[in-house]
Amino acid sequence: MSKFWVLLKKEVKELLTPQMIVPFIAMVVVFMLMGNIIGNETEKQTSQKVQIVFTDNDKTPSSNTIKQSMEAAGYEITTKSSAQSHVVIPQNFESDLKAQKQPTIEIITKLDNLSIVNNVNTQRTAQIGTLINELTANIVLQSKLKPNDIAFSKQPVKISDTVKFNNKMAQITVGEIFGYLLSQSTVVPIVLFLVITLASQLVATAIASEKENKTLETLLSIPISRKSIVAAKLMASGVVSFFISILYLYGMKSYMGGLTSTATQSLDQSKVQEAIQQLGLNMGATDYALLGLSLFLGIMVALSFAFILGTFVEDIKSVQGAITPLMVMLLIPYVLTLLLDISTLALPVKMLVYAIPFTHTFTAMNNITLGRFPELYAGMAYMLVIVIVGIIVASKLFSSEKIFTFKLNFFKKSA
Amino acid sequence: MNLLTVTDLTKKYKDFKAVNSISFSIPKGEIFALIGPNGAGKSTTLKIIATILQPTSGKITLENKDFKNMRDDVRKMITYLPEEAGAYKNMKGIDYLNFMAQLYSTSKAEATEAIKFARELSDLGNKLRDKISTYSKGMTRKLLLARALMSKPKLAILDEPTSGLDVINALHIRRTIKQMSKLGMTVLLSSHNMLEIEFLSDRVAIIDKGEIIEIGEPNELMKKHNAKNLEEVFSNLTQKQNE
Repeated sequence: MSKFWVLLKKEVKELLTPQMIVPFIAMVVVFMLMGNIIGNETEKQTSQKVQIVFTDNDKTPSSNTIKQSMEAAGYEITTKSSAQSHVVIPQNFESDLKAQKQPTIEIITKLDNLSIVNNVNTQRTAQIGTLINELTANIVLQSKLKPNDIAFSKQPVKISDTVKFNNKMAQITVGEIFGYLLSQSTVVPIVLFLVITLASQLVATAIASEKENKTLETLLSIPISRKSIVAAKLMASGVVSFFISILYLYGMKSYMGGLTSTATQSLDQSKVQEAIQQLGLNMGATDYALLGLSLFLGIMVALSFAFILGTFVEDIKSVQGAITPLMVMLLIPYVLTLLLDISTLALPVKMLVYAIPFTHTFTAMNNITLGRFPELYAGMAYMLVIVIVGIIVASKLFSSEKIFTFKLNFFKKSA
Repeated sequence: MNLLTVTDLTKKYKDFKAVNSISFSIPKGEIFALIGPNGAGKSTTLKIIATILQPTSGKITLENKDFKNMRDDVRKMITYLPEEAGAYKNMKGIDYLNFMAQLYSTSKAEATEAIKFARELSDLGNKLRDKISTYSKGMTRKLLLARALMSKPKLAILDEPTSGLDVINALHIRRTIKQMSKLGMTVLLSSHNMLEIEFLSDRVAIIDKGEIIEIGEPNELMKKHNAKNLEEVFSNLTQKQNE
């Protein structure tokens, strides 16, 4: 074997350590699991028919044709109050059509969550107006109304879009509201993910570097309580992460602003803002404070977990592997909350996802926006309990000699 | 009067006894050395006395303060220099001393006094203004010894204080330890260097396989075992143990 191959073999062996392989395998498993959940949920959403309450105030053959055509197009006409949309056919619909007066059809759409997968339904709901115009145009052509205006034949009805949220209504399309809120709410999870990852790495590295630089024994022999050492390390990482999160937020806002400018530039911003106000979807100072508190609790959970995991590592190189469980716990709610509404998942999956403390930080923004305050407070209380337990365990570990004797050696016995 | 008393100290890791029922005491102002082969239990004993490890059984008292329930009080009276100790590399030498002085002192004046004393002890002069990452092994060890002694502890626990150092740096460290002992400080140290032990220590305990196999003054031990130096005593005793 040539010297090069001997060297290459050694380099590959150095790189392919269990500390490096195990986290990757864990990540692959997590991605497969999440792909499965998201796939099932998307299939569930797309296979469901959009339910519409159809109020026919005209009761003429024309209005009845529209109703039947909508059913034929795959919409479910129902009387259930849980229906996503409500289509109101006005009185004199047929006579107005005959007089080429462009009757106005009202479409009221309910807004109940802001997940990307749910956006599939939102898009299908948004298509109702277009469909009604197409159907009416057919009626006009088939009934030989002989339109003298080409524009009328293309758009024989006016559509009045209304969004309903918590019994509040605003004259706007659901697509416009959804697009605006999504552009706002996607920034927060990305920043959260980056900040929590950073905070975890900071605190675990702080402990690992004490071990690697052989300063830990000295630190633990000085006349200062172990709780103070733990608190100082957690606070330092927390404060640094907080300031970095502000920088991230600033950067991400600009980045997302650039990305979404094309999508939102067509929107009448003042109209959307007014609708947001009317629907009560705007965030006030208290809402931002609650979001900040949720972020703080999320960072504290990450810090206490990373501290515990950090006590098992021997050097800085092992930090990434050690905090993998934390990254998995972070990645699952990050991806799922970005794409799905967790509350719509099957109960076992939902319980599993809610058991991950970070889920409650990731859902905080939507919970605040959609006014789901009991869920928000329950999540924050759960995180607070986890933080307290985490800090107690971290302090106990740091106060015991396990910090020297308990080592995270994959497939090796600890000392 | 004894400053430190160790009685039946045992430390077990699962079935392995790293330290097996050892007892000794150190009077105030004495330099007491633990010598023994690698893995004999010296560092484990020092770490237990430095309050870093918990003993499995046995009793340790420092000025009648029981280690079991007065660890915080004990930590105020001791300092520990581990064998492979390091310092915070991004700090300057003087900042490291300042940081440690603040943790050991109860007032600003006390901290200032400790820093002044550490500067003298370290003999690093203007190098204290440099980052520790630029220090040689000898310079780092001098800094760490100055840190360990700056608070004038009642008991200084020094694990291999001159390990891996050149003659000049080792000599400086030995002189500093001797000088501090004359000022009334009690020292518990371990070393593989028998010449160093002969030069420094008032009494020696030879430890092997977790047990103390001999204890006494260096000259007394040499006479007792009809040896020319401490190295011979050590060699004879540890070989006998292995037979």
